[in-house]
Amino acid sequence: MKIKEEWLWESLDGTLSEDQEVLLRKALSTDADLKERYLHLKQLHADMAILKANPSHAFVDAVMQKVGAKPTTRQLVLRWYPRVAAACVLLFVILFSVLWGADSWEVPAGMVGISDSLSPEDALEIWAD
Amino acid sequence: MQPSDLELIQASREGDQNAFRQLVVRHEPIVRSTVLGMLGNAPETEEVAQDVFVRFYRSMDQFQGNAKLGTYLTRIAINLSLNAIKARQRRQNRFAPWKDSVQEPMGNDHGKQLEWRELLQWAMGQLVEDQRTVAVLRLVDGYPLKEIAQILDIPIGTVASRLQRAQDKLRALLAPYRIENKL
Repeated sequence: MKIKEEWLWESLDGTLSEDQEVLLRKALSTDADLKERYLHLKQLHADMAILKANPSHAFVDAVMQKVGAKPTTRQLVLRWYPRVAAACVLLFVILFSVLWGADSWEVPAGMVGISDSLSPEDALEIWAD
Repeated sequence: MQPSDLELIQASREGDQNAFRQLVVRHEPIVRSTVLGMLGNAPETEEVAQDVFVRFYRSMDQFQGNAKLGTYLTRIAINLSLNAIKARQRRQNRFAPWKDSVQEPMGNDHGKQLEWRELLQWAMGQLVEDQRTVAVLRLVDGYPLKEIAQILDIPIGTVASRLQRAQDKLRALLAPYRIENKL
């Protein structure tokens, strides 16, 4: 059976099936070229492990600073929704009052004739009456 | 028990910055390794790696959860790195005296491991983009071939052949240094 190139990688990962591993070992013991490729791959595998980046708090902080400055659309919606809703309700109440409530507004009878020139004491007296 | 990526994403969508921070901590090593492998130790490397998370943060609503988050972020990291390589090439064309930012390392005083690390980065930088991409995903990130095929959306046979060419070239590039250093 022909040995597939990816079997070499899967063998290094330990993900090759048992049957395939047996076949690969057999091939490695008889095929010098394949064995050389396998050993080279093993070496490369080990070498490249040192290129892995180590965890960095500074990196995480820098990312959080960047995302903190610019919230997502959804977050903006969630943040502004209550304010926008409250403003809409207030606007509706004002509009409703202006359009439908204006005609029924009447000045209370007791307030008729109260002049701006009245002193606060006189105004309170009239109001109490 | 640790919350899953999807739980953290959901919390992040609702504005929980700490949940997003946990996601960054969890996936930062693989994203940085990918970008470092693609771009080498260049000035823009950290910036590009950070942008991967910023990009994800801004488009979090589009993440359906069909792919693993690590795979999804790696795909963004590869795309942004390729963009950075193109931008670098444009700069090099504009300013002819510029050389590739990943230059062949000379002897230094930082010890054998740092020297060898620089050599490996330099060798990676000598690979053409498609070979470098599969080499980084396989050799540095440790993705299985099947997952690399999914990330790059190419057949597994293409991944294997690119990888084969990449490893042959790496072998040729590193051989003189191995002999020199008896590695």
